[in-house]
Amino acid sequence: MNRKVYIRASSQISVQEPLCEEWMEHPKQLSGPSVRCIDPDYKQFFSPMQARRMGLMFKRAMVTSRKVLETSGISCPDAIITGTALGCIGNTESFLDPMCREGESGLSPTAFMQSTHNTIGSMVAIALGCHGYNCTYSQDGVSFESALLDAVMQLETGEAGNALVGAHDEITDNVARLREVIEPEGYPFTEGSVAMMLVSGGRPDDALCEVADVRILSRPDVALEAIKEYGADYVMRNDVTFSLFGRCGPASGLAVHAAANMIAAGRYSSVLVVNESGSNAGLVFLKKV
Amino acid sequence: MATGVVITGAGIVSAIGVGKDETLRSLLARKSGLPGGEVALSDLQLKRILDIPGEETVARTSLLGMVAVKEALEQAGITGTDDAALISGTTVGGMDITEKHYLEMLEGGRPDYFRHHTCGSSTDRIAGYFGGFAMVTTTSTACSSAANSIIFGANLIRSGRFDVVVAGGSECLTRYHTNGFDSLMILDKEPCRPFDASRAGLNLGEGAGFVVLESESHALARGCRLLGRLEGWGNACDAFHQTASSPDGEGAFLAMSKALEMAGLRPADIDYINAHGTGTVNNDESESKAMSRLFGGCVPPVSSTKSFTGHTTSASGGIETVICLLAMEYGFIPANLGWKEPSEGCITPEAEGRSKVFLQHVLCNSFAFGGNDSSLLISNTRDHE
Amino acid sequence: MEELILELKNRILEALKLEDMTPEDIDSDAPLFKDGLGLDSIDALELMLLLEKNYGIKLKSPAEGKEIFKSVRTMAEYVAANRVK
Repeated sequence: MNRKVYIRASSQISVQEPLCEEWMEHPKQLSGPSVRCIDPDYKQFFSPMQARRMGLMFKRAMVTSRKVLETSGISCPDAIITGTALGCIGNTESFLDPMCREGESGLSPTAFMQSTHNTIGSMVAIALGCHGYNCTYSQDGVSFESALLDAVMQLETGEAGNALVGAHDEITDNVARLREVIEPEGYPFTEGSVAMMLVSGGRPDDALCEVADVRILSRPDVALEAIKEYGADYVMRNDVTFSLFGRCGPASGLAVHAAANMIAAGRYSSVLVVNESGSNAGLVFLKKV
Repeated sequence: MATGVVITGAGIVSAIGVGKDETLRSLLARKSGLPGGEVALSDLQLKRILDIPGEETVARTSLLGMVAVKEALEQAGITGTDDAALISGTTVGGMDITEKHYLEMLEGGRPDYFRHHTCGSSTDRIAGYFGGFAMVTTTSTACSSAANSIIFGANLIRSGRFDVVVAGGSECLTRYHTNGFDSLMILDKEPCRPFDASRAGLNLGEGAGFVVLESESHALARGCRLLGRLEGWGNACDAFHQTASSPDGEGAFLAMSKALEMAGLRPADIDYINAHGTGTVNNDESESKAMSRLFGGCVPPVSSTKSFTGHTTSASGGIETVICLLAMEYGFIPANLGWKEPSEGCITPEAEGRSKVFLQHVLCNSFAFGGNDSSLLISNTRDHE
Repeated sequence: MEELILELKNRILEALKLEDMTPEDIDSDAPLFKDGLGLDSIDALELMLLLEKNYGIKLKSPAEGKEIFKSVRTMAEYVAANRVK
């Protein structure tokens, strides 16, 4: 018999007001080809020595992760699982640009070292001294669902008692420009970070909601059929998700964050977050505790 | 009783061969793919083999992956992928295209090349070649990506979500990461010598390695041959430094320990370890420490096949899993080429390899930057003769 | 020498992305690695790059840099003696 899995805490930094949910009453309207995150003042979170080597995306990942750890009273999670569509694209460009323009000498080892997709998840683990399970998924728009599914599989068997699940992406001027040309129709291209603490077993009074199911369907016809199966109180699709958070890798994770808070506030008894991303679709079904 | 996870197909392409047969011949003949580490087929030649039009833009990572997945599916006798999952592992994705066309993309009116950049898009392309899968995703944990794909795939089966999962990894050589590793000063211009006293760094390689994982009941019902059984796995984080492994090899130790524990085996049950063994001063010492901690004075035979293939980074866990399957099937331990002199703090590997050995249980290690350490425990489906 | 020390401090802050620090925050004689600034092996590589790019000094390995990078002052002394640019 599988254990139930809950979202115990969730935190976001996005194009909406960071680290809070007040914005949900009157979300900011997005316009323009691309919009950047609203960042808190990171000086309150990091000393200069800590902040070095931490571009904005890493800072967002650390702060959102720390918030949910604090809220759930867990200092070292059993698992740290991360999703990122573009990885550390800023550092990638910092290495790639001079390589392509100036040649192959004098390239920064720091930029390369911090350009692999797993830098985010391992940075969090190093900061926490956490030796537990650690994995990173990069499947464009369903990177978050991949990380969430991995966590759910370990939690439902009790292999892990809790898991820090995060989705993080940043946008650069170059990426914004390229995407605007390739996919001009739609909401602005954005960036964002979301971190959640998932726990399993029991019936925690302080959880936001239950994660009843998560699937990734890579055949669109199947995905659309599947929606009906859930009989959700509210189906949250990309048009709503993108209107709130823009088009970014962690959009579905941010949608789950919003949905979890809506369920906790008693607005809905269940929400199905449907995320269509190219040939893949993510479904996350949340229920009230 | 947990669902057993078995392996019914395997595919591989690397500097020592396209396909299992050529790979096996190279391993037995001790024929290295270094220096170079390249797969001996150009993109055009790969497209021809795969029946893809030459002018079509396809990431080399995808092409290599298609070749290996094709071989694995054919061996497993699986013709339709509608109900199967595909889990790949890569870090470079379509970077070979991005770096070739970077200025064109940004300034030359060809932004469409960016479509091929991401890890996810390179896996989607592999999936599309086979007519699509029920579920597709990609792990990206640098040098342990393929191993983690296999772990995720095994969990999909154990949890009853899928009966068939194709899992592994693919990575092509790029100027990007060749220069990257060079900037970290851990490349050796000479062929690498894992665990050797004179070792001075790694050689990069490229390739792809995929296995067909299947639930045991499903495989038995199909009546197909079992190549091996995935009895245990472990994933742990070293949590020490972004590019250096801890002196006590904590992540590696935990990963191997978890794999043993899951399989219900003791250290003495392991017949061979395919080490991560990159040939860097740091990795080999750290990995040796982890092995000594786990196995005490009785470390089983160890070799690193990176001395054959080079370090195939994200693909290494998949490539080396397939090499372990070959070793179990044909009863040999691959050589640890280039080793001449013991190094203080390091294990002494099987420099010459061994023939006519029966391998019941094998550990396959993949350790990555950032401390993403994974270990797979694969067991023979034949009993000891 | 003091001018070179200040120049080096600014270059170090830039290379190691110490955005919120000033040259006054770095003690010229304090250890750069382990204690003091607490730099690591990757920083050593960045400092080697710094020497090459700005002063034309090419070190062969991080091991060579160990004595040179003891403090900003030892770095400045080495640069003064060996600079090509």
